[in-house]
Amino acid sequence: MKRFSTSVAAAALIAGAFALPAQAQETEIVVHYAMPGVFGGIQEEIAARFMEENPDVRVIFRSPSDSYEDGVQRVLRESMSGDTPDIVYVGLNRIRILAERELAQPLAPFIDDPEAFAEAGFTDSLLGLGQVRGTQYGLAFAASTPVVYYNADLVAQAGGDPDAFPDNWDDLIALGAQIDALGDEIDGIYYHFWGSDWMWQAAVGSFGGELMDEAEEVVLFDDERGHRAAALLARFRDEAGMPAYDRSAAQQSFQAGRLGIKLDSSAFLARMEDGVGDRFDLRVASFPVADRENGWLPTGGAGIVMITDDEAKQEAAWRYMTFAAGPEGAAIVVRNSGYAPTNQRAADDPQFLGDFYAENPNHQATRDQVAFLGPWFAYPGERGVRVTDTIMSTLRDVLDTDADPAQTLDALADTVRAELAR
Amino acid sequence: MADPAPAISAVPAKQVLKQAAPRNEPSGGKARLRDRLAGIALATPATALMLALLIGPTLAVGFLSLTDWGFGARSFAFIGLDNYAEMAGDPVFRRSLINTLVYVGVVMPVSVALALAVALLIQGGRFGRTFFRTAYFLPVASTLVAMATVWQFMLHPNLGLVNEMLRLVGLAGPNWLTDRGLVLFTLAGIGIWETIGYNMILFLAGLMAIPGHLYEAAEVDGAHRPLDKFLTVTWPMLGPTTLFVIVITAIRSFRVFESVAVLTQGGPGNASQVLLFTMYRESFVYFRAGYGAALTIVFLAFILILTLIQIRVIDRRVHYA
Repeated sequence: MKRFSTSVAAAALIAGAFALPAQAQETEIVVHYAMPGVFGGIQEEIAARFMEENPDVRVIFRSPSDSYEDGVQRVLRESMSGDTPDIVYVGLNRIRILAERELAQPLAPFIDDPEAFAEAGFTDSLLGLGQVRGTQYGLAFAASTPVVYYNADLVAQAGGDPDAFPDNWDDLIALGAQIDALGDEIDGIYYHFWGSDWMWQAAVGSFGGELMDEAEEVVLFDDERGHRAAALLARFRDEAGMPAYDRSAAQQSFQAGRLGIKLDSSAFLARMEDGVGDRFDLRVASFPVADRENGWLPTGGAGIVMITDDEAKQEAAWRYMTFAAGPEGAAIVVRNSGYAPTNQRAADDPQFLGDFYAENPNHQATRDQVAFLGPWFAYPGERGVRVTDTIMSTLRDVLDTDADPAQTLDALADTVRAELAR
Repeated sequence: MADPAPAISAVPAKQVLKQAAPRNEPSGGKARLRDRLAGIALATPATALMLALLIGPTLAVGFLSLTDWGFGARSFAFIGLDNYAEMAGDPVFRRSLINTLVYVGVVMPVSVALALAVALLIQGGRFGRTFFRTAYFLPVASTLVAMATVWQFMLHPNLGLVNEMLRLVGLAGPNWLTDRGLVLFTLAGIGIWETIGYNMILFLAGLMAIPGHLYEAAEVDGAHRPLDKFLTVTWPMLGPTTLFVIVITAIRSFRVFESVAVLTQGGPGNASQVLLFTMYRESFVYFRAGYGAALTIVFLAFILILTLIQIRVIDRRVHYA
């Protein structure tokens, strides 16, 4: 098939070459991030601290995008008009698209001494979060994990012990059923399942399953472990009385004290605490991992990607990236959000987060899960993102209707195989 | 997007041209040339704008629909009609097409009929005209995205106002936005709520334009009952207005997007997937711009066919005063 360059077409369509950056004493790096509601203050603080230590670099923020999705769209648009920022923060599952579009710079050349780099807190498992097929394209900046939010008052009312919250699926579902039985207006469990297939990955990971093989050629989520994950979804529906709510309805119910247990991302912890206030005793427990040996949990959150191919800027950009993802940056992120540290030194060295966890016990759950951190899997190819939506909408049938989990999962896996093979 | 307003004003414009034509006949060739040049000069800005803003982009989209271009990709290949072939076998597209047609099928007749009823009641009412006019028009003046959020609170299955009220009278309210069989009709209800005010204003304008002497004449001819007056005078005289309202409502409801994007994201399980939302997901979320372009072309074709049918077929039966 003959392929045509879009750059020629784009040059004809768009009067390219916006403002060439003026040569200045200091190096300017332009940074774009998404979700100002979560990251705004964090980004400002990191940039200010960085510029204090590196007076030769000036960090300039573009106006942030509302969501990760908008952010990636915008970078792709800007790439067509040749006006990309030098550094972008994107959702960890969207690093892939920037790599496939040849916008993200491979980072291996910048890591001179891998051992010293690991020493600085960039361990192999944390680096893995920013890799696409083994190539390092991003540094993890903020990591959220699936956690269990619960209303300790309702748990106590239902006869459970809020201080000894279940750590396995059977007990969790039984407790959900007990809470559900408290009244018509009270619901037991809500397993958040909207927007992306992230929580499906969490269910599969909990049983130690895989979505695809290492080479990303074979779909694996319909093996025995995947089937246990699908059966789990059906149990929420059948045994724990999970209501067919959408995300915001569930959120409102939980905050109003009418939902006992909500499984969702730790990223919402700060917002959840604000929304609940003093209405009830909000607590957070670890996400049950059924297979303690091979189990893993998908890591949500953001990664930092280098876009600029200008050598002088690359040097400054790399310094900034390693600062933001380094122990100091990670500590700022953790203190101002519900994210887990994405730097091992920040987690281990008490000078960074020493007293924080003692004072904020609800943050402990996501920290305890760091050992299980796995990638936020993105399916390969042009249909990769679309497949995610297909998985979402199909598996909702298991939660909302009386669809048989095994049959639904097998049919879904066939569809996904066919889509990916196209 | 196609704006039907010119279609209505085209009729008088034609008449004006016919009347103006004879005056130009006797003048010499030079004057005629000058007139023509002036005409071209006057038409150029509008034509240029239309080419640049409507026709150009449409052609570009048509071109893209024949490629496999991924949003932001550096290269593309021509794949002929593959995108259209894929559409034929794509269950999500089929679902969103059917859903859109159902949505239009509900919103268009109901909102036109209700708007006409409201307009007649306000026109015939003795008091509170301004109040009712404003009340019905408010949804039009507000931002749908913000209003959708309000609807979300009202329709909450457990805490929402609607189900709380139903509970007061002993009914268990459904999950308005997550029941697969219901969600599309809930959205249609919001669509109707949003459209009535706009249609009502158009009908009110149409009603005011009906000369009073026609009613007197009808009275003389024996149409004493309100229904007779409505059938012999109001309804025929409202023909052009009704045609305009139907066309614009159909097009507006074909474009349903905000309520879906805010309230349901096409879910649960594609139950509220509609054309524009699918188009947006494919192009900008899945980054499949070529396929998204093909969807756009199909969408435009539907709008065009719909408009043509309505103008051609109904136009013949409409009585222009």
